[in-house]
Amino acid sequence: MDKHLLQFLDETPYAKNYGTELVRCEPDVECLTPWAEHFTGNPLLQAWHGGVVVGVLELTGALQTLKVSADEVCPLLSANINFLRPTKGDLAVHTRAYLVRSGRQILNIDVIAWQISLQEPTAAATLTFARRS
Amino acid sequence: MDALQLEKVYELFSAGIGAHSDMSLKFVSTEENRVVLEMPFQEKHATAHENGSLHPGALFLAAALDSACGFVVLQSLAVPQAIATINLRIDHIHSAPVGTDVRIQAECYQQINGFAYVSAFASSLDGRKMLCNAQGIFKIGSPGPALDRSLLYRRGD
Repeated sequence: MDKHLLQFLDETPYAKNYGTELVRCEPDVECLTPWAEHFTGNPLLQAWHGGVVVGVLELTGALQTLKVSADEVCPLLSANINFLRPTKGDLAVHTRAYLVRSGRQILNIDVIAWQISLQEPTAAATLTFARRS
Repeated sequence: MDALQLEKVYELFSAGIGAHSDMSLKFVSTEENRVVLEMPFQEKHATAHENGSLHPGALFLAAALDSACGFVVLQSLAVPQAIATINLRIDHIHSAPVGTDVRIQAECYQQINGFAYVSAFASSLDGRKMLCNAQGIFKIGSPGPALDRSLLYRRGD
């Protein structure tokens, strides 16, 4: 497991608040975020807050940048998120980041979130990061 | 949505949703189809430690922007209905300065064919520094109970 990614998760207050864990980093960065009551977005449906799901997707993408960009977290320029299914409370969220392109100035990363099965994703993000130069 | 219904949605927004309590989101003002919220700085929002100091990045703003967008859609509905976020696009422009609170403004600028279109932005409290800009699409009348119905039910307890 990449020690820089583990260190980032351990030292970043934002990541610690989410309780996100690194599952693997090869070939793609994959994370697991356990359910917590303070993630509730809709108390009637007991569902995850959409913005928290976005945060976890962005965090997984940031870890991918750390992996491919010489252990340097790149600034996020833009995120486009499609919500595909309700993200149910009491269930953890899995996220996996795919490197689409690693350019000299821009990193393009897609991240997918699921709960029960990867074949039933709950959200998908297209992220654009700037490389520090 | 009349004043009483709006008050009930406020109540649910402020206290009934764990993510909102966690972010300590506060209402500043509301107008027709527009809402202004503030989020106080909290150390847990910081995205990195660099050289021993906190560096709050833009990541933590996504939840506050989504909340503001959702609330302005609920507020703009003539009849309370369940809503669901379909798409959210966020441009991260500046990182939030260390220790400073953030203001979020959202406007529902169009509703048509069961969809609501929202624009929002996060800025410094004085509005001079734009931190994030967002565009959202929400489905109106999505499966699931409308939020304010539970409050009506609670009142009868």
